[in-house]
Amino acid sequence: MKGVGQKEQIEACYEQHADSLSRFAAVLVGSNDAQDVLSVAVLNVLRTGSEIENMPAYLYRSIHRAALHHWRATRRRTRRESVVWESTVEADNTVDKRIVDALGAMSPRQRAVVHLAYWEDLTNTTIAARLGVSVGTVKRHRTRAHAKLKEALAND
Amino acid sequence: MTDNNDAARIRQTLDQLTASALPAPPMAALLNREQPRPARTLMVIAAALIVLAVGLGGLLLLQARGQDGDSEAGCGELVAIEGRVYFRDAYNIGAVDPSDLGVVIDRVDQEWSCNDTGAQQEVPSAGVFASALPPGTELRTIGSEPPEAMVAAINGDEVWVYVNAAADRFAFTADVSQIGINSDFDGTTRLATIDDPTLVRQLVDDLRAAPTATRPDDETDLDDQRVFVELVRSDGVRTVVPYWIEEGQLADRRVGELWTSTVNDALTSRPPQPVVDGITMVGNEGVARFHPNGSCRRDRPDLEVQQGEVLSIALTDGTGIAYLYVSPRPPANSGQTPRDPSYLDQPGETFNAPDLSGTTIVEAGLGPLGEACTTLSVIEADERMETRFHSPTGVSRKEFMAPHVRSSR
Repeated sequence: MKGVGQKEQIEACYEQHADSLSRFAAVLVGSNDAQDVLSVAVLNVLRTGSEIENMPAYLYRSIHRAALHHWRATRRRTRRESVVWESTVEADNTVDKRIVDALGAMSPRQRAVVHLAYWEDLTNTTIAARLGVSVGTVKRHRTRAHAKLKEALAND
Repeated sequence: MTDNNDAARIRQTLDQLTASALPAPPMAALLNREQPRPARTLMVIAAALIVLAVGLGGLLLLQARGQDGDSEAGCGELVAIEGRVYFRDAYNIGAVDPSDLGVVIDRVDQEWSCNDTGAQQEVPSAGVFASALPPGTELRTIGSEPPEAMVAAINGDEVWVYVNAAADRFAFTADVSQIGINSDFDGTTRLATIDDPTLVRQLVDDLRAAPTATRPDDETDLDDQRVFVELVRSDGVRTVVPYWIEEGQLADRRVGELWTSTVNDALTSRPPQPVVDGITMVGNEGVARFHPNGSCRRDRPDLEVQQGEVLSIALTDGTGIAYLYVSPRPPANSGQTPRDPSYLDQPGETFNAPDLSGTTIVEAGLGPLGEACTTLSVIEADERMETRFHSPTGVSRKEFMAPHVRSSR
């Protein structure tokens, strides 16, 4: 079957970055739905068919797209602000609820930028490449997310 | 907030929130999960169709609109010649005359059924297979296209053109007499035309010399304005390919400023689109007019709305809505099918603006008026507030908008 080499490449890349990708999915849709989004994203990458230059970045973008689609599909049933991390917050009283609330109030893209900036410690340029958007877009989302976090942390 | 303690606190919170997603499942487990969309079968063909959709600008998804989002993808109209897969280019329906066809290069040996194009099947490496042409059908060259890039077959009264999406779309030797800028809606509705021979030649030369590039895969950025470029050729063939203007991505080439400025100039110089009377859309900030379907342009929004804003349709007496596509049509290679259309049977029913930022085109099917569309500029809720209260010029966003938008209030 054609494309076997690419499948192996995808598999190798996934195995190498699996935990980071899984965390990225979790920050976008919550741990409960993270595997669904990961699964859709990986299948979408397998279906791509064309040559992929930067496989890790492509996987991140695919997860981001799958997460957005997930939100669109479920938005009538639930609002994104209320569902993502309730169980985590309930189970761990050391979690800073102010930050959780601020993250929950962000758009998925803002949340993606925050995760890549703070957790993965990436520059705006690298985040832009990973999400497939312009640096200006990253700056815009980062500024808005930053403002929300700043406001949340000011509420001591 | 920017000190190291706060950054560390945010990092720690992200760690806590995502830790339960670990350990990540192995890839095999992901592939075996039950999928909401049953496209796992037909993997090979889905991949091929997506490649085609990239090349042809989403035609397949345009054709699929209105279908149930959970329906299985069809196997398409395919031809395999000695291992090369060709897809039917529906943009050429009716555009090519049988007399335009060249020599016979092959004949269909065998039917290629959908069952044979599944995930576990290989593309036949030898012979000629076709999914929608009977065995014996002649495959011919067309125009000045190399047969590795394009072939054609006569099916009934129509010429069916097949394109190899992996081939160079611009390898033809015929002259280009005109460049059409066509609508994102269907790829065929003409928005503007470039017909200065010198300029056309420069653009074509520039295109052929441009480096190949993969388009950045930001499928959610609705601000990317896509049009279709139609190269009208002296050999009777039209090459229709997608062009993302801001990104400079024309099919698989990265073109430069000459293309950007020329296409923008051609579009800008066009007069306002005609208005369809009898229907308007009412939002918080004004009233959007509708235009004949296909003529809506992302660079000319009819109304600015906030994400989720409640919108309503105003109709004149006797007009009814058959359907309304509120959500944006998914981009070509997103793997998504369009959401179900909204149905507004009663005057005064409302719906919500999409929850994505950017411009989106809303289509309406109208009883006696045909199909119409309007362009919404969708902003996040806080964007309007920011613009209103923090604009350094003190001028509202709306005052920056095109005159035809302001006058629609």
